[in-house]
Amino acid sequence: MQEFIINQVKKKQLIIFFAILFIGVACIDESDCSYETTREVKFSFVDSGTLQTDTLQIDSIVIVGFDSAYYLNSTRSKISLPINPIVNETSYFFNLVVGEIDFSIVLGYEIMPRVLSEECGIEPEIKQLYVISHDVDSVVVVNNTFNEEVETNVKVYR
Amino acid sequence: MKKWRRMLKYIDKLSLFFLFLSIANYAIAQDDIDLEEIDSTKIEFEFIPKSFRVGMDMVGLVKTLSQNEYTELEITSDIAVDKYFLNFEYGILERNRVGDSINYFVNGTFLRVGLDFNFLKNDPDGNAFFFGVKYALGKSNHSLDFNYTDPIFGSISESREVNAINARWFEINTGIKVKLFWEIWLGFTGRLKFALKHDNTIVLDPYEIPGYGFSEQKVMWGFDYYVFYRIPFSKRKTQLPTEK
Repeated sequence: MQEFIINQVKKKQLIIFFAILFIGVACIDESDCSYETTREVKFSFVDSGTLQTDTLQIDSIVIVGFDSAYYLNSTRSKISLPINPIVNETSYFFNLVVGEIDFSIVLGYEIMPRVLSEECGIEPEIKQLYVISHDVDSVVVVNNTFNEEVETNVKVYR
Repeated sequence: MKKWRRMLKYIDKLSLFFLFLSIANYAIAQDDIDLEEIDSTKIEFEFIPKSFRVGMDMVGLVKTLSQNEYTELEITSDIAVDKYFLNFEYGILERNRVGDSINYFVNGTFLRVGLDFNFLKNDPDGNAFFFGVKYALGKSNHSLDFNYTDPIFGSISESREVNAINARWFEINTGIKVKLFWEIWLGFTGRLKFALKHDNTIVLDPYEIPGYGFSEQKVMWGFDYYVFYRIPFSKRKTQLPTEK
């Protein structure tokens, strides 16, 4: 009886072992090249007088290092703009409609390369975001994390 | 999809861990059966070291001999005291990972110290089925040459280097040590590595920690196959209680 039980236990263990081995082999070397962070900075605008949400009448937004303009002829209180992962600072020029004052913001940061795998290469992670210069009332970094979940990285008071 | 893959990996690791636990349980049961058949006379705890065993990891050695730009050598030792093994393990890793856009180099050393409990204390040859915990420390250097192309801002080629990155982690280990012939022993150890902490730098995020594995993994699983040489401190075999 005891021998029968031991044999059953051995059989079960063998089955479990091979099942695990199969799952293990199936999971080996699946390269997933997706990034965990984004290379976009999220701005939200605040009226410095009332501290209420500020809405921008945007003519265009220009980023140094990139030829095209963003948010042409649009009205926004929150915007998302690419951050340059090649150099340690990005300059944004906000051209507003006639009657509103244009402004610019220069952001500085560190870029840390994170190895994904030999196949996928690296993901540049943006770290330690800070404000180098601006010409509005105030610009505050409220969140240093760059991913889809984050709603605002930088608050702009004007 | 990524979440599913991660979940599968996690389940896989957990399953292996529980498989070891079930084997341990089985070994204890067998040990108990043997004892019951003979006698259940209590054997007192002995604080006297019985043997010193030193071994080398064969997995690392084979990889070192068969792969280019890869060196992984690990020496393990244990002192048997009653049903416990006091363990010291030391290893080195030197590895180059080359891809289309990266060249990552890591070299470093690690040390593990811990205590194992031997479930087969009464085995006449001294074979062991053990379960234990270890604390590990490591120091490593990392360098990375990479090319990166951003779809908006263009390309960059750069080199980064960080040195003397300290790391520490814990391990839960289980495995066997079996006598082959004379004082030559064979064994394997399964490791569940967790609670990794390492120095952080803004220059470069260490990708691989020698002795641990991928630094981003919260739990790592590892296997080592060892060949040991044992130096007994006394010629006496484990005393089994006499039959009635």
